Amino acid sequence: MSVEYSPDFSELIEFLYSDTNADPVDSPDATLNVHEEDGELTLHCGEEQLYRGGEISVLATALIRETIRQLIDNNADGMALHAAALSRNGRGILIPGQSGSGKTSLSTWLTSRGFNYLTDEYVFIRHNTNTMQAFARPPNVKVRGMEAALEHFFDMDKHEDQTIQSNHVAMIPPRLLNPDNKQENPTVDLILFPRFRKNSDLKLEKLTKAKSGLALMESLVNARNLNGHGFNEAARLARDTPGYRLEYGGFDQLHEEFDNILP
Amino acid sequence: MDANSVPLPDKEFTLEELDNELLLYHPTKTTTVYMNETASIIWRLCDGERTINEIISLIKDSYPEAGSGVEQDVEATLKMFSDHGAISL
Repeated sequence: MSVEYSPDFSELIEFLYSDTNADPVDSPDATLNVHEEDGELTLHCGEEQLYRGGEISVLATALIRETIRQLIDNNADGMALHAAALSRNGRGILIPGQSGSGKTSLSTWLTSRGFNYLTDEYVFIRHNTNTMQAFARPPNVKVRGMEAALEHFFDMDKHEDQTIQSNHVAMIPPRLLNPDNKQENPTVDLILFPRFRKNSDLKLEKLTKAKSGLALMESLVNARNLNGHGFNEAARLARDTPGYRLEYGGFDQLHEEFDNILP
Repeated sequence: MDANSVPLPDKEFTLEELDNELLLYHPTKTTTVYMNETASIIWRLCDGERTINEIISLIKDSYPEAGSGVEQDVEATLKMFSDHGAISL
């Protein structure tokens, strides 16, 4: 796909896409168009209007959402997973999960442990490989409060002009969460299925390979494009990689026991 | 559940064996079924010819340590298979 935009949006496009590992294409399948009409911000995909309004943060979210949708839509070259991903020294953590499972919070917190942020939303694993390709979406994180994953190690005030903030939520460019500024394609060395439940005790359970495969199937978003709906690929990845289910109620719980399983 | 009935596995399911457990997937129903080690054994005994009684007897003979709850375990597992559409009874 491609994105066309008027010069006024150069800064926004740079903010949203400069951290991605995108290869140039000659004939995009779809073109997203961002421009201003009658004083309003608009986003179109072909003839379809996807957003019209005055909020740059909402436009940014809509643009990224549609970008990911286009990446998934006809993708049959591997598994597309609703997942976060991080890396350290070429080794990767895959964090699959539905919206609300805590992927964004956990992945941004892990950057304080020296991991490179790759994505909080979309991971692609090509057939017969265990290599992750992540779409570096700027995560939306809470700015303040108990669930503000970054509160204790990311100076939001200092970086205010480098983020898009709205309603106590900040969209942060991945480069600010990536201490080595690396957008690498690591192998999957650990699969972590998170579930944040406020005030719950820490539960870290090593999954059997079959349970891990079952959970992976639930995060597969391009199953309809794949032979056997990606079942054999999910089973292969589960067979190759240790998987854990993590239930936690706060970041202060994630210390020694958790550290022992991290790559 | 009629113990003389023959559980018929749905052959459309694809099977993956991971250690001693199984995952089954039906491409049309888009259903994934997880089977622990015990359920995996029972599944493998559902060959479309054995009755439920025969399955129970085989397990008792092969796993005498399984104890007195074998009938209930087998019936509960077959019901789980049936609920997922993996077998018809």
